[in-house]
Amino acid sequence: MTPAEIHDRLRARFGDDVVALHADLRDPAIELRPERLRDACRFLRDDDDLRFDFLRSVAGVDRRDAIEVVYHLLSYPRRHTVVLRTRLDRDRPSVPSVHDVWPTADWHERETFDLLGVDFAGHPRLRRLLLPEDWVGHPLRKDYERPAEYHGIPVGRDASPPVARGGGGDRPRPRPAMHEPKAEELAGFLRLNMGPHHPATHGVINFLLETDGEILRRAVPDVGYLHRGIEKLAESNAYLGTMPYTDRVDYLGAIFANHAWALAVERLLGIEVPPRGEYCRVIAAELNRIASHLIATGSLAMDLGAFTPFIHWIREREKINDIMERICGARLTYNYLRFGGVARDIDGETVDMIRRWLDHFDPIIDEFNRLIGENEIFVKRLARIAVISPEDAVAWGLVGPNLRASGVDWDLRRDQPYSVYPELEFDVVVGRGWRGQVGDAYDRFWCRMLEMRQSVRLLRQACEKLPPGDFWAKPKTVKPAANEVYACTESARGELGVFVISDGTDKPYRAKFRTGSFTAMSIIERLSPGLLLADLVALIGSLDVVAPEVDR
Amino acid sequence: MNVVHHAADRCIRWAFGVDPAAWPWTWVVEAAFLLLAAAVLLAFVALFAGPVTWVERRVAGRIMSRIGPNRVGPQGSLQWLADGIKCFLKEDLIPDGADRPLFRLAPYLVFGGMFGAFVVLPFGAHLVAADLNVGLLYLLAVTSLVVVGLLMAGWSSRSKWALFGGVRSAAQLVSYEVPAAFALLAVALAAGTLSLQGIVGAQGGWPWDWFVFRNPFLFVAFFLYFTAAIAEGNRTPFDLPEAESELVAGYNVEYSGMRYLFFMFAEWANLWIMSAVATACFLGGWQVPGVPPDRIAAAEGWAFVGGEALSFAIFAAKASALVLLVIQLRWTLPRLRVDQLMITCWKYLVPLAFAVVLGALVLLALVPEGGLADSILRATLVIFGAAVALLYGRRIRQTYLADRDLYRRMEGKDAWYPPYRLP
Amino acid sequence: MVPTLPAAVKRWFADVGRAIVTTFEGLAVTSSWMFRRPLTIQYPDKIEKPVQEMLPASYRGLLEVDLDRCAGCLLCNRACPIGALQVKVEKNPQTGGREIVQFDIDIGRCMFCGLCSEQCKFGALAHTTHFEAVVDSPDGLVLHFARKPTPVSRHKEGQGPPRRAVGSILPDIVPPCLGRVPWRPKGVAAEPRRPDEPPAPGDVPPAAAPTKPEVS
Repeated sequence: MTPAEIHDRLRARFGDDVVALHADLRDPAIELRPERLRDACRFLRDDDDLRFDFLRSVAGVDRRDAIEVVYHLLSYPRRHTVVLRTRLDRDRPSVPSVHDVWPTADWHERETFDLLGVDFAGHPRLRRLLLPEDWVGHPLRKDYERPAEYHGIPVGRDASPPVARGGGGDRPRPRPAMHEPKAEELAGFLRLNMGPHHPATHGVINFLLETDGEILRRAVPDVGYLHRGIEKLAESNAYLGTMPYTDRVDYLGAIFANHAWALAVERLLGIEVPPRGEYCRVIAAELNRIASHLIATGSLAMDLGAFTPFIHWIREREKINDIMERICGARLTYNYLRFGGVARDIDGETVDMIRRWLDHFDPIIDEFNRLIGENEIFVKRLARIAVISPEDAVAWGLVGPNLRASGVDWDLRRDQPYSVYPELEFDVVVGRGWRGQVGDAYDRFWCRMLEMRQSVRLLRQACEKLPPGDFWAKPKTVKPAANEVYACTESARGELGVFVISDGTDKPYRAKFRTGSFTAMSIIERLSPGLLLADLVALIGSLDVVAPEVDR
Repeated sequence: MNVVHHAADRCIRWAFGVDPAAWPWTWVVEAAFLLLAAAVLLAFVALFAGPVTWVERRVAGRIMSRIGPNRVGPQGSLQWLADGIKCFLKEDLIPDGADRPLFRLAPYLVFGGMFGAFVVLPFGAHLVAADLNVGLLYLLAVTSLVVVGLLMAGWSSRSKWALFGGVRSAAQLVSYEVPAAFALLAVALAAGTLSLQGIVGAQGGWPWDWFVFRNPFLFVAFFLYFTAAIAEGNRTPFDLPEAESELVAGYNVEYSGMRYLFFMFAEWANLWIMSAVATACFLGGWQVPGVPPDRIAAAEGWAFVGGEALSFAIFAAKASALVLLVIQLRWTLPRLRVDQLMITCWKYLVPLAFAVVLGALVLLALVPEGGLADSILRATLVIFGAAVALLYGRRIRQTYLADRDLYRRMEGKDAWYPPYRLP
Repeated sequence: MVPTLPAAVKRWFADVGRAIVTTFEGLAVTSSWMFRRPLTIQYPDKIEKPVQEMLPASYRGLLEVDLDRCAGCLLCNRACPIGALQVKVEKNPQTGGREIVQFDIDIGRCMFCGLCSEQCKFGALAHTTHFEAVVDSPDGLVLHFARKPTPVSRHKEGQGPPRRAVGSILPDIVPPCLGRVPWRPKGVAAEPRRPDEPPAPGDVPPAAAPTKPEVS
């Protein structure tokens, strides 16, 4: 259904509460009144023709005269999308929470509250997510002023470390109070901190655990240690200047974030990419996907105690790094894509190198499986652990291999195609309960292994079909007219979406990044009761959570 | 013959010219010799525990296609010394609120438990510190002291993560003693004695004289004991108490400096114990193929010394091979979860242990030693063992070849690194 | 659902069998790796040639600018997303021409994204294959390329004298530290200092000739 039809359907049901349809936008948005938002969302989810079961992202926007919350929805069964908007009073922005319609809204709304100060009425525990609990101010507001210091630490671009300036280091640090047993501990439960420095949390993430011996009662993720404010930075940088920052949104899948950003701006500008540029993008993307899955599967094995497979995969990654170094000059933060193509060409020698590496890599996957993938202990550690049903996966916003392992057959490369993926042949790997149950940790692991094989297949095709010609149709200026667009790519961790609002200048008005690890992190609290401590480690590893994607 | 006793006697006769049985100060000299024996054992343990860390790191490196320590000393062989000195010089930290006496005591208990087991290990034909006639029983008993030490370490650290490690390890060690004991019981039944020297003496030098090939149940008993011993030693796949990726060193997370070294020392020493006991009980110990033990005992002077040295070399070679196997297992397998650990012990290994003991008993009773049935049984098992070893070698070669040519084609003349060299 | 005894026994043996077989396979894989050569490149001493020469020319290493070719267009300054480049061009009152009075690159801030060098049409600003720049104070991380005011180049794109070899300017700019002798590209000796030029921070005293890296 088109946005206009959806708008008509909503208007028929809710009348004047549907304020307008902004049809002139690149992604037309339906504006609603905040009071009826939850009912409208419930209708959108439950109506048989609409069936919007996936809340992609919740973005708060400071429009200077009001605060707007933008909801992007997707329907897996009906395959259509819609954008909802509500305008809220700037001084007391409040809108009903939709966490009971889509549980994934829990974290999205917490983030919007944290960064913009929007109150979501009815939210179970609305508190800050990315910033510390006692932070003052909401950074994504246009009138936000950064505090000069935080607990005695100077904050800001030119702030030097306290030690160098003689500040902070002299101040007496508060001594921790002697440990007094809290009431919960007297009741026999242990409260533990897992992280932020911990080998098994993939990145700087903290978990607050409440355990009954080895069995968890609750595991609450405490994120934000790697929050770098990329969305705020994007507002003060030219469009191209944000490209290197997108590398860091997910440094293990830099090309995907580059691609999403490039797609968004290209749609805003209305420009096309020449075929050679598209193929170069696909080659880089699939190489990056393999590299990312190597880390995902390797570090899962390492978390379960097998260090050797991880090192073997790092060794394979070195070859990919070498190839990417030849292509774009960097080994991790590629900054390879540009608006209208790619920065540099992939020459014939590099293509040859890729081919030879693929010949070597395909059988090595078999060796890895013999070493660990099919190892009985490894299977026993992962099979039937943390089973996520397809309904839960969709409701909690899981994407990518996590979603497919739970049995939902959805891959953006095939179902919302972009670039030249329609010209290439590949299979979408869907979980089948290979060693246990559909949607368990082993399925998520095995999905990634099979996806690597599919990426090898894609790479072979792309290398063969690489057409001659121009690789970068450089636009004259990057100053898109005022518009809004949402563009997404299938990253190694799922849907990496970018919502950009342009205002006619050379800097974006708002950029929002929607990442797969963010929602994967939010489901951990729900899955944790009853797990053993070792299973929590397996769960985090099988979900392939990386901290930079969670915190941005 | 008790080496220490014998040596003390000869020393008294040579130095004081009196009859040791009548002299009132015999016990002084004997005590001195006992202390000397303990010092020699300690030296052996230290000289094993240090370099074996180097071996482990080099082996781990090669498995992971990297090199391992190769800078400190020739080929990195003094790395362990550098690490030891570094640990010595570290600050001695005791966590605020920790139980200080227990915290200090724990490493010594763990080390004492491990070291006590060295007393009965038969290093050579007459190289054993104390040939107790309840050797196996003593072995199992003294290594149980380690459990107390680990629990003490985990508890007294006043850290929740250390507590996890300590409690896990207590459960693990206590559980896995059962199948280990049963497997060794089967051996004791076959040998007719609990004394380790007696067990080795009941075997022979050639593989078909070893207990492991004596009957199928003893064959299974070997693997049973080996698995249980790895679990006793907190090695992967049973290294939950010190699961690096979860608890980051588990029960000894709060230890630093010399105390930490004691724990590590004990862990590496235990590697030797588990291999030595397995060698002595199942693989024929120090028995030299073709040389019956009486010949070594009857030899005089340098022939005697040579015989002892040869038996020690054979024992050390067999035990070292097992040590290498344990090291390789660490870098191959992931670790078991704690409940899977318990399930493996109580639902898999213990019933197997019962079956092994009963079966071994029955076969030992039915099949007289030296008869035709006995020979056929042994021959079959030796051939089976050799076949498995050959299959293993073939599999290694297949894995190696599967990628070799592709890898060469990739590196080839267009290598994008210059050919790398081993140091 | 409690399984029947025969089924339970069968599953027991199947579990044990699978465990043994997969352990065997795993051991075979790790054993096979002990016969293969390690992939380690033992930087910095046990290598055949310096890593800077192993890297592809397109590598985005430390930045370097040849001021003789800089036209002072300031496109690089604008392109940098993080403000690592500080370029100041002023009009010289005496000659009336534009001069580059400041060309600072803060390598502590630079994220090696390549957006600046992409903008340079004259080939003045380029990434080298240098990656070693140990300095002993945070201020040393700011590299001052314009030691004295340099007039902007008047040459058009693609014309004029060729750029100095990429990687040959940087060693003179990075302040010395720990007695390190910087790598220079092959075939390019250190240019003799012009008499009117102030001393470069990276100047090596003439007595100490640069030594080749040790080969094993």
